[in-house]
Amino acid sequence: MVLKLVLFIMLFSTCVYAKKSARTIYYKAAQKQYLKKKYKKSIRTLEKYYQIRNPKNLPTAVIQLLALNFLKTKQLKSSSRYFHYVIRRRYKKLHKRVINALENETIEDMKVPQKLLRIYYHLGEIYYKIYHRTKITSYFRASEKYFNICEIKEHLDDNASEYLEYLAKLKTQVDQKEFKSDWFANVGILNWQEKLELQSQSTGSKTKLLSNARALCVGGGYRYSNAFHGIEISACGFSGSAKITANSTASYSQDGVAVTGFLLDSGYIIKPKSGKGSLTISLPLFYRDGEYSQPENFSILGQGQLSAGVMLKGRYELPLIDFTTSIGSLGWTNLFMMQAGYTF
Amino acid sequence: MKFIIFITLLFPCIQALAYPNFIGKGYHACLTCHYNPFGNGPLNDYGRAVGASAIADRLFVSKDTTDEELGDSSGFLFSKPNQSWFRPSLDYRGMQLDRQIDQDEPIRKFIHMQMDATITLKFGKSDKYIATFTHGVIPDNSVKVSRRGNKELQFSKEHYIGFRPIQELGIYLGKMDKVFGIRVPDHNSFGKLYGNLHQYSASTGVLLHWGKEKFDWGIQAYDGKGHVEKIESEQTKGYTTKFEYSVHKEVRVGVSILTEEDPNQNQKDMKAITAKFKVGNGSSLMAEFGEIINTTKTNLETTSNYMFMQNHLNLTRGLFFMTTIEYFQPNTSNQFEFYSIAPGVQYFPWQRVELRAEVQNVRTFNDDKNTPITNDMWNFIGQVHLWF
Repeated sequence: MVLKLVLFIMLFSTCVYAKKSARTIYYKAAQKQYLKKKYKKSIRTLEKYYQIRNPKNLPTAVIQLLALNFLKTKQLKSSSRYFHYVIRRRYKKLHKRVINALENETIEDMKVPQKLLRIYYHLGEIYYKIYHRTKITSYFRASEKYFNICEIKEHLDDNASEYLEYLAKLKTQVDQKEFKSDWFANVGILNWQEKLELQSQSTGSKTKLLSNARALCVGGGYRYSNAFHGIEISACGFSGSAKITANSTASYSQDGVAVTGFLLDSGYIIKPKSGKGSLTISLPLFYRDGEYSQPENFSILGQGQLSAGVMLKGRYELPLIDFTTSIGSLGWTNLFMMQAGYTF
Repeated sequence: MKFIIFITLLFPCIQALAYPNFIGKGYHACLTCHYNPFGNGPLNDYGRAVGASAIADRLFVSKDTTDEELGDSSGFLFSKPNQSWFRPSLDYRGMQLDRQIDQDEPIRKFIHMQMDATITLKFGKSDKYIATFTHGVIPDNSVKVSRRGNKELQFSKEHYIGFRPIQELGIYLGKMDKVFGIRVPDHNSFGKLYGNLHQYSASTGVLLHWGKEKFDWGIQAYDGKGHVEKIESEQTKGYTTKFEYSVHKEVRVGVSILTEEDPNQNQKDMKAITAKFKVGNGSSLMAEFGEIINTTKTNLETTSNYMFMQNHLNLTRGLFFMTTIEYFQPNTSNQFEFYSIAPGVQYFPWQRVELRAEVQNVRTFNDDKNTPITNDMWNFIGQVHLWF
């Protein structure tokens, strides 16, 4: 019995030892190949023993070696992914503190291990290269972030500064391309002319009416744009007064008629010369309701109307506020609006 | 770029360009580009060069031609002046005016608004002494019947001498435009038309200008009596003053006050506040709010209000989307009001050429129950402006 037990233990321990030594052999071999700049071979060596596509089950040292190999073989996104695994395993809390300190400008007083700084430097490089390939702003920002940490913590700071200089040259371009969400409020005046009809209830005959109205409009909206183009949705509610007369005669006439309603529009913004002036082509929905009094035996057609059409808006950003002029054609209705707005 | 720097070094004390909307390009003062410190009239060498090298588009201009070369050929008849004292120029402005384009039979007319020949003489360092003479011709078919009975109009548009003892101070004597409000070429705008500040309003007098980087101030005494181009009520004498101040590198505000009397002792008092904004790179917004009080010899007083607003959105080099918005209430004691909005484009395809096309919508508001509402009026205004 004792002999059996001894034999079993011996067999088991040999197996474990053999497994462990094989793992070490492969890792060491891959490490040597990396140092000899045989990056692809290094990856293949690790692939023989590890399931490298599933980093969850890999030792951290292997993940780091793979990240370095991927960086050298220009598999940048994989490299970034594996470096982030290393950070998550070894420096999760510290990394969060470093990022917060960078944002709060207190990083200078913080101690950051060299190994983590090395990873940051690699990440800076990776995102710099990906940005150049894709021109996606988030990579630019990420690269800037990691190089900033390295520069402040004086880790390869000359190289990091050089990278940051290149990035600074591109910054205006990147800032201009980045889309931003803006909420805004505005107040303005609008006036419009429209055609209505007066219908005799007994004969059914119709008389054309013309109405001029003006109102105070208060509203706001949402804008999603970069320095070149974007989209906008806005709405405003208005209240004002109108005059209505029979077309070309004053046989039917009312003045000071209360009108209320709303104007909704969504449109495409073009910002020529990437400046503070923009043109918007929008599709408005315009609802108004006039409290016109109806003569006995007559009814007014078009008292409450919903119209759709097209509107052209010019927007000018001034110091503090912006100014917008809008011209709209909505069927028989010509609309004109001037607004002062504030972007939050 | 080198050329602009060179020009800037050559004329160190002047800063701006042609139309007031060029505040959008960073130019605040008129003297930079004009001999007249409040704008209008002939362009100086700098104005011509900047117009050619930075404002106008390069349509059909070879890529090999540099902006410097364009600036060099911006003188009279495409030449580079070989002396410093004599500057001739020619100006033409024509307008295609189609009224009521929404009707079956629009009223169409082509009007020659401006045909001017100018000679400017200048001497001394930084044009210390100047003399300028502009002769204008308006053909008979372009003169209003009420003005000259459809006869061709030939007149001296402006003639004055100027002396700037120091760069900041200038004294000008002769026939000049009145200094008031924003000097835009839209002489048919309500404020210009009813304020006697249109294309025939230049009057003989004396103008004092004091200007520094941040401000311009002018005071002018004038008399328009006997001028052949004016109808009697326009032959006024009076005083006007204007002050403009740059409160910010992108904002210039101003105030103007004018008082004048015609030969029949009818008086006109005007005041206006103005604002010009630079918007981004090349775009601008300008606004003028004014009041005109006309008092007859018998003390009948009429007060009018007006607003003029013009926005220029720079689409690309030389091309602007513009919107002109106007409001006019001829008599504040009744509720008769005009609104006008004119979106359009302004294009400088080459140096010396300006094209402008606008569609104007005019709407009237009238609270009188016995007066019917009129249909919106739609007009087309096309303009061509050439200068050599």
